[in-house]
Amino acid sequence: MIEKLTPSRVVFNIINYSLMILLCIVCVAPVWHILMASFSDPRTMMATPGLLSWIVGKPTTEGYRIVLSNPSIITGYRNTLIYVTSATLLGAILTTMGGFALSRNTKLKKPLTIMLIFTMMFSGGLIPSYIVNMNLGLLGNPLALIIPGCINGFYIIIMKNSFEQISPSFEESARLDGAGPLTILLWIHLPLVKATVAVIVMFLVVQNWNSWFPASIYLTRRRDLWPLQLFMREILVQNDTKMISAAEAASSVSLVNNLVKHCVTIVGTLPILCVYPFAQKYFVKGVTLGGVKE
Amino acid sequence: MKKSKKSKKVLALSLSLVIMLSLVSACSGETPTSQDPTSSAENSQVPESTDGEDAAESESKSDNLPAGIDWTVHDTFTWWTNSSANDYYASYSDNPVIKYLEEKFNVTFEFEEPVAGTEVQSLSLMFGTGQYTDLVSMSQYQGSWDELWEDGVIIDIAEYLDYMPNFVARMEADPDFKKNKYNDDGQIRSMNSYAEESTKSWCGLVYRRDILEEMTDGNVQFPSGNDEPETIEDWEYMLPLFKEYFENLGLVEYAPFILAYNGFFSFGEVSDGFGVFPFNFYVDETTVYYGPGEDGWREYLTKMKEWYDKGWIYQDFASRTQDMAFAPNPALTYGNAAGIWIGTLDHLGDAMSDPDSDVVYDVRPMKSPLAEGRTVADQLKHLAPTYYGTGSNYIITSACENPAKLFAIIDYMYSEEGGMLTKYGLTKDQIPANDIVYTANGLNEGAYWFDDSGNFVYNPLLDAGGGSLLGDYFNGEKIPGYLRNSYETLAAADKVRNAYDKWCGSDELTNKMTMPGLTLTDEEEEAAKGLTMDLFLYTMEMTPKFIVGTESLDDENWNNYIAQLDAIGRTLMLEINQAAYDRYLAR
Repeated sequence: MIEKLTPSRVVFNIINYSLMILLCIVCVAPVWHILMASFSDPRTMMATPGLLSWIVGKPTTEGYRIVLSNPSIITGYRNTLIYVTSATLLGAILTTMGGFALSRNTKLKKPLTIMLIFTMMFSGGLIPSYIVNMNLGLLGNPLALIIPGCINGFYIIIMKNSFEQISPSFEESARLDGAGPLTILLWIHLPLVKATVAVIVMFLVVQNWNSWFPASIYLTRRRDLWPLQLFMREILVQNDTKMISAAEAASSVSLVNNLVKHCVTIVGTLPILCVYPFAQKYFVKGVTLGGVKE
Repeated sequence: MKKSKKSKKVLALSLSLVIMLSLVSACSGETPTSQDPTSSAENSQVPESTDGEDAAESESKSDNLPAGIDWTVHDTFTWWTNSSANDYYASYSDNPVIKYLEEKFNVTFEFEEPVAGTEVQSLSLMFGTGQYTDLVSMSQYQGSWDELWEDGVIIDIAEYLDYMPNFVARMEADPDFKKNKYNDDGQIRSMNSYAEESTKSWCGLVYRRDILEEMTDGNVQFPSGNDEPETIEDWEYMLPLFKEYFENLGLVEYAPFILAYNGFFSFGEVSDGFGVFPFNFYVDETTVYYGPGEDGWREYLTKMKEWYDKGWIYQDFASRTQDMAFAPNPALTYGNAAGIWIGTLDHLGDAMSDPDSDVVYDVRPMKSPLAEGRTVADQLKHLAPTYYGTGSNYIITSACENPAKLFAIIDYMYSEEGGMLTKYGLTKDQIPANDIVYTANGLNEGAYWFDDSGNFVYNPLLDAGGGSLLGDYFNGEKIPGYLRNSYETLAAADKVRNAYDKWCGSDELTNKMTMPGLTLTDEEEEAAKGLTMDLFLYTMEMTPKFIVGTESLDDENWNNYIAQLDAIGRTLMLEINQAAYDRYLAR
C-alpha cells in the first residue's frame, strides 16, 4: 500500500520523526557522553561543562587500564556470567513449562492464573522474603541470586498467550501419532513460539545482568561471590574508587575517580549493549505474537 | 485423551502445589531462638569472673591478657560495619590489626559488610529479622535506639565496666567524655573512639591566591592587615578582584564565590562569622540555640544577598542541588572560573593546575571570615569534640554469647598500646604470622618504629609518611578505642597541617558546638517527632530565596519567617532541647 502524502500526513510525519529523533538523542546522549569521557583527559574533562560531544584533552586509556587490572572487576565479570547463564537457562525452562501448563484447558487454569497475577501485583516484602531465603539456606549462597528470582509471573503470562495462539489441530494430530505432553511441548509447540522464547531469554539476560539488589542483601559476607553490578555500584554510588587503585587515588583523587567512574560504566554496560541489537529482530514479533490471528 | 487429561492435571496440580508452598513458606520463617531479642535478659547477665585455680591457670597460659576471662577457649564474634573495600583487601576480616587481635586474643571476627550505599537498608533488615551481629556500627542507623533498647537488643555497657579498666580510666580522666557516654538513666549504650582533640576536617574554605597576586601585581594587601584573609572585609577586597579577573578573561559563567545550593555550608563556614550555625541546634556552655532563627542569621543573609546582587556569588548556586558542598561545580573550579569555594586537601597548592595551560593555580586554605564586631569566640567548633562523635558508634547486641570477652578486647584498644594500633598500625614484631597485607605491600618493617634516639618514625611507604599507601587501611581506625592526635601521623605534610590550622584553628577558642548526645524523655521524644527535620526543610527552602531576593529581608517579611519557624516548632524544640541539655550538664 502506497501512503498518500496529504498535508496533514506530512505534518504528522515531521512531528513524528522529530519526536523520535529527540527521543533517540535523549537515550543516546548520556551513553555517548560517558563513552567520550572515559577516553578524555580527566583534568580537561573536569573543566568542561555540559555533555561531551567528542573526546576532550589528550585521549587516554589509562582509566580502562586501571579498571581492567582490578581483580574485583574480573571476579565480578566471572560471577555475573555464571549468574546470568544459570538464571536465564533455569528461568527460560520454567517459564516455558509454566506457560505451557497454564495454556492447557484444565480446571485449575483460572485459579492458577489468578494466583500468578496476584504475585505480579503483590510481593511478600523484603523482610519476609529474607527470612524465607534464610531458612532455605540461601544466605551467603550463590543460589540466592539464581533460584528466588528465576520465575516472573509476567513472562509466564506472555508464554501462556503465545501457546494459546497455536492452533489446537497441531496438538490433536500429534496426540493421534502418540505424542505425550512433553513431546508436544518440545517438538510441536516450542518451535512455533521460539520468537517469544527469544524475547523471554532477552528479558531474563538483561534483568539478571543488571541485578545487584539480591546480592547486596544475601551475599554481604561473601564478597567473592558479588556480581559485577555490585562492584560497579560501590564505585559509582560511594565514589569509593580507592578500591580501584589506592596509589592513583592518593596522587590525584578527584581526577582519577572521575575517569574511573566513566570507564567502569562502559565496562559494565558494553556487553549487554552489544547483545541487544542482535535480539532486536525477535522483539516485535515475539511480544505481539499473542495477537496474531489464525 | 484420558491419559492426556490426567497428565495435565498432574502438571497443573504440581505447579499449584509449588506456588502454594512458596506462599505458605513466606509466613513460616522462624527466627533462630539464640538471637531472639527476648532472650536478651539471659545474655545480658554479667558472666561471673573465673576466680580461683582455673583462672590462674588460664592467665598463666594467656600472656598478660586481661584477667577474669578464659582466653584458652576460642570464640567467634560477628561484626557489622560499613564496606571497607580497598586496593589491599576486600573485607575488614583481612585488616592486619584485626588479624593481630585475633591471634592475640584467640578469637575470630566474622565481618558483615553491606555494599556501599545500602548500609541503612542492611541495618534495618538486620534488626527487622533479628539476625543482628555481636558488634554493630550504628553511624547510619536511622531507626529508634529506644526501641532497640526496649527490645533488649542493646547490651548496657555500664554493666561490664569491670572488664574495661582502660575505658573507665579514659572516662575518669575526662569528665566530658564520661558525661557524654552515660545517658540520663545511667546506661552506656554505645562506644566510639576517644581522642584528646577533635578530628581534623578534610575540607574547608579555599581561595585562588594566584589570581589575587596577578590582579595586584604581587601586592596583595588585606584590609585586616593579615597575610591571609580572615574577615568579611578581606573577602570584600578579594571578591571584586576575582570578578574583574574572570570578566577580563571574557568568561560568561564564573563564580568569585561558590555558595552551596541551600545558601549555607553545613559545617558553618561563613555564617559562623556572624555568630550563627546554620544546621540544627547548637549549644554553648549553658544554652541551646537555633541558628536560622537568630539575628546573626539575618545579618548573614543580608550580606549574602548584597554579594549576590553584586555578582560575587555564583549566580546559579541554587540550581546546583546535586553538588556536594566540598565538591562544587568542577567546570568552574577546574576551569579557572572560581575564586573561593569549599575545597578538599587534594585541591591545595598547584594540584589543580592544567599542565597544558599557563595558569598555575595557587589554592590556599583560609579561615572562616569574621564579620565586623565579631570575635573567634562567636564562631563554632567546626567539628564536634571527639567524644561527641569520633569514629563509628558501636553497640554490643544481645546476640553476643560472650560479651565479657568482647568488652575486654575492645577495652584493650582504649589502652596506650591499643591506641598505637588504631592510629598507626602494627610494628614489625606485631605482624601476625598469617598476614599477607603488610608483607605484600612491602611493610615488612611495620607501619612505624622508633629510631636510635627514640623518635617516632612513620614508614615512608605510607601516605602519612610521604608514601603512596593509604595508611588508614593498615591501621585499625575502624575499631573503637583510643585515637591519637592526627598531627602526629601527619607531621610530614606541612601543607595539610597548615590547612588544619586554618579550618579548625578556632576550635580551641570557642565554646559553641553542635549538641552532645542528649537523652529525651518519652514525652519529649513524642512532642519533638519530626520537628527538627521540618525546621531544617523550611530553612533550606527559605535561605536561597532570601539570598536571590525572591523573599525580602525587610522587617515584616523577616517577622513572618520567624513566626513560621515558631509555628513549625522552633520554640518548642528549643525548650525540649534546653531541658535535655540541662539534664546533660547535671549528669
